Amino acid sequence: MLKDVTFGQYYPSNSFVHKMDARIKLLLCLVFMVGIFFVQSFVVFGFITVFLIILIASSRVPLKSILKSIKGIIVLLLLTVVLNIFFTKGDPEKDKLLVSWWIFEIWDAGLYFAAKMFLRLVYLVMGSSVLTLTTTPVDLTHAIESLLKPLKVIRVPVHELALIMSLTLSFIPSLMEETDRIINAQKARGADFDTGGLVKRAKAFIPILIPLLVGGFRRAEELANAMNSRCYEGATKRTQMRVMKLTWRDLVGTLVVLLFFVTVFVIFGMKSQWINANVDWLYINDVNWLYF
Amino acid sequence: MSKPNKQVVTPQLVTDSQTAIVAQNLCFTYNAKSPFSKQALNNITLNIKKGEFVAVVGHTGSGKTTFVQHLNALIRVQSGELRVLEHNLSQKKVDLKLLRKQVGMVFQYPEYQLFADSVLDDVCFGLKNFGLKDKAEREALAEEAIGLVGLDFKEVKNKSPFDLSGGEKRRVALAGVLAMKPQILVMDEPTAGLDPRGKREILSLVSSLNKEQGITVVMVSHDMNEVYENADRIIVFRDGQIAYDTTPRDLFRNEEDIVSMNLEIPHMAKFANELERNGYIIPDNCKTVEQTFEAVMRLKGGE
Repeated sequence: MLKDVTFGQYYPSNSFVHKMDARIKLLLCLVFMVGIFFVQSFVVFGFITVFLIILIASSRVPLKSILKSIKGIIVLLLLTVVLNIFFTKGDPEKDKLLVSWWIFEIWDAGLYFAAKMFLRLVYLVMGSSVLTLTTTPVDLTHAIESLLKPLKVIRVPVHELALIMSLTLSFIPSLMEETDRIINAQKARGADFDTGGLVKRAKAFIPILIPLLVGGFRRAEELANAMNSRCYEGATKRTQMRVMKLTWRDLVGTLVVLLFFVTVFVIFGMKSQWINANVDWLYINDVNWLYF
Repeated sequence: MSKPNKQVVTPQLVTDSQTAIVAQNLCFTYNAKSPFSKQALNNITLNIKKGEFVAVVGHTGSGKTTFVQHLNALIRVQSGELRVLEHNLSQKKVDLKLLRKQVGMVFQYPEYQLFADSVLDDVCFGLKNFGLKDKAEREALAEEAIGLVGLDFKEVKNKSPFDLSGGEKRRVALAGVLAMKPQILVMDEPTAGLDPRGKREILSLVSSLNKEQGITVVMVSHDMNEVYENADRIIVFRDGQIAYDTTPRDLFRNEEDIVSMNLEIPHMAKFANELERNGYIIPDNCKTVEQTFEAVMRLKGGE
């Protein structure tokens, strides 16, 4: 039952993007996300679309799994689009008023803005889901740890944070398995989770939650003992089993992404974009804080 | 996988009152149609009679646990036919309550399923779920089951199950299943993690339930010695298929093949095989040390 839910989103494959270093992927993903926010014209969005198509094709992840990730933000998307359409006030000298009814006004500028916001959010999610679909959670944790290393200088316990993260990740599958087993065991004793009123259903979860909680503590204690008995000491110069290495793929990937963004922004007027972008940022901060 | 051929299926699936479990071309794939898909069962066909003590063995990942979870519909049939007692599990509609009452399932490490405030409540959980309203009746059944697993009812009934020792917890969990008076008892490694004495006690309990009350037992196990001594019949799973389905003695005559499946040869089987190779034949039903000893003494006396 719970086994059907694949943990995380990782889609195993052997593609170019899969083989890239997780750190580079993470950084490029950040570049992409920031870049997306500077895009103002539909022409540039066209280029971004082409870029995404190439990216997805080279990651060999089926488009279906990528589109699935959009499902999660569908409410946010609708809300954004609707609010932007109705509450964007156009400039009477430049823009056209399309519909006006009671306190609502729909301007063409509002439609454009809503469309851009929609594309921006969708591309943001698609871009980042390429990262999570092609990188295992473990690799991602390692990448974060490695990228945060400089913070050690100001005494941020980077290694411990990464350890907590990776322990959490590694506990999830075993806890899911245990949940599955407990559910089955209680079902075999006639437990019924699907019928009855709210109270009855909530009560039906007690026989699952208690053993799960007890098991969770047991596992945590066992793990702590195991680590102690092996003299685990945290950040004192530990080596890693999987050493992350940069390869030609990372160089090529980085160059492609950076070249793409630089070219597109140079061709389509960096200067005016910067101004627009600044206005856009202000706008977001003042009115559309919902995005953040 | 290939759909079962209806023409071949029907005649063999006729069940009579003596049949407990029939499977025909049972197949199961985890995460079908995803990159994680894994075929766990591949054309399983078998027939288990009422009152049999069947052991299911096989290497990790051979599909044995998947198979036994089919038996009380924790996993639903994907393709193929499966009947358990009067239930046809290949059909969508199954009386799950009745089925699960009749087929008691003891999971691996069953002590991890305990949850109630007291041992009595935990043992009664199943009875309550299966609609036994009368409290006194429930307690009577619980008392009987707790006595059966060798615990003192008066002493443990009000204790928290979490205060018991590991072996006692397992007995309580077993009692929770036995209290429902199942006709078929399915157990997934019931002795794993117990000390030798605890193992012996659980096995002799299961054995006596099988012999005296006629309960059909299906036991998954990794311990070939206990399987050899207790089961009437052993089914060996390999890569989702049945590799062997035969009596313990016959099974372990194929020493090389058994070892190649990462299974052990039981001590007594090894001994008997060695005797046979040297021309001394002892009866097939000599499975324990004592029985073998007597048989050897008889051989000696006869010479």
